[in-house]
Amino acid sequence: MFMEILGIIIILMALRTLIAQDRAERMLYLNAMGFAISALIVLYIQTPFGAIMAITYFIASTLSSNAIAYSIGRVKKEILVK
Amino acid sequence: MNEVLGIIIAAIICWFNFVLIDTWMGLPENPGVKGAEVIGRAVKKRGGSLAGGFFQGNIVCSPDASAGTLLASVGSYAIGIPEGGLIAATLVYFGNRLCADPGYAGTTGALSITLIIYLTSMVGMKPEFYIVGMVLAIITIQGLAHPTASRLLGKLAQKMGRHTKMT
Amino acid sequence: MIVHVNVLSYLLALGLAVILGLALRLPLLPERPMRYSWSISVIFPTAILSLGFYAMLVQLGYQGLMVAASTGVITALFCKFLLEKLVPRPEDS
Repeated sequence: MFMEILGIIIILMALRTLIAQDRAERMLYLNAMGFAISALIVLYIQTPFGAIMAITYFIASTLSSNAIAYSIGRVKKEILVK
Repeated sequence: MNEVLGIIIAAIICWFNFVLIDTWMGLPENPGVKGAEVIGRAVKKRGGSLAGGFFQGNIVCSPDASAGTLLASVGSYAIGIPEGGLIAATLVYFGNRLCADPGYAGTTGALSITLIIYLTSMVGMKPEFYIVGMVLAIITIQGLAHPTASRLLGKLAQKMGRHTKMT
Repeated sequence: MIVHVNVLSYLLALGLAVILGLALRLPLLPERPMRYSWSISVIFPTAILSLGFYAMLVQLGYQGLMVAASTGVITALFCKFLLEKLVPRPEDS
């Protein structure tokens, strides 16, 4: 039952990420999705190594979000070159 | 204990654990890194509170008490008590320092929920309830309605004296 | 759910890390306001890391009082000398 709940949450967050207009808003939905995926990893692989994998995945995804959110603020104007 | 009831109780406990610890540790006060400020101002532009927006941005940009709560529950489930929570607290600490955060919120959240998991295990709560409960708790803050959640967090920040002084 | 009852080893690791940290002249508490302070102190993170490292060793199979004692000592030395080099504080803090 836990896996089904988490699976539905992940799909809902993914859909909201696709629909959202604001890039910063997408970061929040992706962050929530990262929580659910990390939980899914450990509930599926129910061993200590599964916990290490879930923890490593979560911290790595937070490091990526840190870098992405930092650059979102620095890119002010996008220039399209045809 | 009935699983649904257990998840709901765990979600409430996890919500208070990470919201109170994060607010106390100053997440609504300052954007820890520039990314958190971007997210905070974007939430404010959509009608939310700036302090609540900084809180949500700080959750994205650094492992905080919410990450500590989730990872300590993960550790307690698959590794055991207390090793799982302590290992999670250590890894969260190093993750924090890599994300330009001193590390107080994450480790405090991890240690407190490890204690709570241990104590409530005697009345039938299991660590897997806390894992799913924490995911549900974070959805209420990061996944439903950002401006509304940020306003709630802003009011709490004001009550605890941690509201931001930036505009 | 596994609950280990070797509390004594944990306390030994914690105690040795705290005592050696104080002897190496680490501050007991970080400066106020504590939540923004980057300085390494005895309570944070030395005490927590000593428990965490001993937990990792227990998980890998090395238990006992000698292991706990050496973990406490190594953690205090690590926090005093290596931690700032491994995960340095950012420039703009």
